[in-house]
Amino acid sequence: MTLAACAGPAVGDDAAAAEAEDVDWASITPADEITWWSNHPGASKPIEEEIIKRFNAEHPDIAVKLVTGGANYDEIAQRFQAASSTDNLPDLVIASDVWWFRYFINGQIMPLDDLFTHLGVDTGDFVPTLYGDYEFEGQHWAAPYARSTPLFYYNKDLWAKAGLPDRGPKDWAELESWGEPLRAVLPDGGAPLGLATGTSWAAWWFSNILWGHGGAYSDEWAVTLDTPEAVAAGNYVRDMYHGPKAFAAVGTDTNADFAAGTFAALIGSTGSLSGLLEATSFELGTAFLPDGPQGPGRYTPTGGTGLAIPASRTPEQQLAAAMFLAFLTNEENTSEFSQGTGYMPVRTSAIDGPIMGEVYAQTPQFRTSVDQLTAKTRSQDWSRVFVPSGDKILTDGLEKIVLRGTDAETVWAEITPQLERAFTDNVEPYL
Amino acid sequence: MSLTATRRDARPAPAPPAPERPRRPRRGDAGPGRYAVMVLSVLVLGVPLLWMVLAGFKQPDELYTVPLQWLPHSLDLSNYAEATSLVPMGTMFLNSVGITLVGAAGEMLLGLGCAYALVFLDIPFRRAIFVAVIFTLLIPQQITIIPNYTLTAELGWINTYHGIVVPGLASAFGTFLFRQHFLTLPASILEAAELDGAGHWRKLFQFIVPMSAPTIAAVGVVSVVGKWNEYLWPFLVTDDPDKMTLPVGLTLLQKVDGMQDWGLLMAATSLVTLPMVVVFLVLQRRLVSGLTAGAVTG
Repeated sequence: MTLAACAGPAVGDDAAAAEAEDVDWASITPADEITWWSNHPGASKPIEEEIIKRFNAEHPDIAVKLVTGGANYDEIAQRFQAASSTDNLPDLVIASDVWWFRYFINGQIMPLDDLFTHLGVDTGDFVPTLYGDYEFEGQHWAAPYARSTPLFYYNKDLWAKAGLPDRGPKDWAELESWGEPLRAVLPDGGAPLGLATGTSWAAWWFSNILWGHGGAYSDEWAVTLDTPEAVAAGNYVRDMYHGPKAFAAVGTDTNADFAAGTFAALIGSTGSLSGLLEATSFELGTAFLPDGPQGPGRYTPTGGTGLAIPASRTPEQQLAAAMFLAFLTNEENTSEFSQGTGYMPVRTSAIDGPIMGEVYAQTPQFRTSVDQLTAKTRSQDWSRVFVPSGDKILTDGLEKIVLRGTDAETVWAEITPQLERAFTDNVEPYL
Repeated sequence: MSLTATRRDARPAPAPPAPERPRRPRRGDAGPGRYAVMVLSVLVLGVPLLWMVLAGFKQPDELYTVPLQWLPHSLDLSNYAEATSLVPMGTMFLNSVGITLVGAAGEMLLGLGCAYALVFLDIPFRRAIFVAVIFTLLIPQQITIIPNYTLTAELGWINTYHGIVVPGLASAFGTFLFRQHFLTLPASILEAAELDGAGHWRKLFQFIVPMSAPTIAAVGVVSVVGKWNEYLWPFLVTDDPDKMTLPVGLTLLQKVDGMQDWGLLMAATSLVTLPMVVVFLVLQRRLVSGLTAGAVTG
């Protein structure tokens, strides 16, 4: 259903960057109304509305219209692509990890650096990994908003019944060894680990296993799925579902299955934390993602979404949008957003600030996700997040491995040319 | 006497009775095999619907249970109440009804008119025109969405009812079905209508339409269901909840990342789905006869 292919690059990014740099922001008066397209990640609509109210109290001359732009990141992108050749664009738009670069290539979003400098935004206070995710050619094209990492969730009651230590597995091999005792305490049809497939998801969590094996999707633009490490990682996943010691299973809604006690553990987004705490009747455990055969390392991908400002809006609208964006991501608001959803605070000052301190005291599970962010994360491989349809191509491949049990070498050989073609057709000409 | 006897003996032996032709089961008769297939079909189609309706009455602790719990503790309407308080379901329901009826009626009128012209008017290249109409069925909706959106936006029709309805009025499917049916109608009726001095509109609405009721019902049901369930286009051209249709409204109840509230979603989905189930149940006979009308032209 994606419309990405329909809206090819209209203009290069240079035009957007040059235009933004030419503006003397000091001479611009902010617009009196802006529109924000959000999909309310983590059921955050009430929180977003509350932040808008607070912004209006501080800036009564700027009204913010919050629009539900879609049910997920892909739907927002579809709407944005469809509207890009019209004047019906938002002033602030959700730009997820796999979409923002496409907007950049299409010349649809503007760099934020000059605007933030003019507004006196302390960009050094953004969590470096998270802000750095939106950097390309020396400019930042979005700001972090609802940022997440995959997190290991486990059912402490089942863990205790199975006689396991109250912690997550150190590495995948340890989790595999726990498969048998966990199966013994699970209901029929249950599985030690729930791990779903699907776009914007499968290729995200697989990054952890791939990196843990010493592999990568790509080295910058060069696809590296033909390495022995990448093949070993793919076949490890195949065996997780189909091997003699299989311990993982897919589900339509793994969160619901985990809450029902069908899965003993789950890899889910940190953005699911609040919902899981509410829905589970057992004690919920959280842990870092397991390491791989390479030993301890930074094997956790960052993800979620940022916010971007469309390049075709007037400078007045862009300035008002940047003012709201700065407010939305300040220490207090990112803390409150995190508290309400489970997403990461995007500012370093917020991580150890008073609001988050309260959150950790009330919900110790939250501390795990923040600690993992600072200790274990790394930015994603370019072929997943920068290549248009890269995530989709990788997901199709992973689904063959997970659902059909196809050999990884065969799958990687099949999708490598697709990724390379997507790059040469849709990225290379516009760099 | 002996003669008689001789004659009797000379008669050829009576032919063995012809094996009785197996009696075709009367309509309504069904062997166990057919019953099994029917029961299986009903289960495959009906169980998810039943689950959806029952889940709409459940709270999360009833939904997230192993083993599965079919019946809710009580007919708790709180999910319905919450769905209608979170999004303007009443307004969306009226939007859906209005857009569906106007859209389906427009689609059928255009289909009838187009098919009439292709069958009963002596226009040049009508075969080529028909082929072109059929070819539009091969074009995925996604291909036309961006040009349609651009045009709709330029006309200032974003967040308007006509912005939702107008781009979907032309129906190749309806035109095709009506044309196939019209080809089976006896020419004598139209000749009589002509002698009566009837013009094209009168011929269409007083003579052809009454003879095409099953086909019209079939196209109507397909069109109504299509319009009712349409998601992508109404989603793209509306961002104001007061202009949204029910399928788009469901979007407002979904959650990214966090736990889906399936009780809430199933309650809302029941509100979206059940009107169409009723339409199908009421019109099922006509739908079947209409879809098969014009299938045999020999």
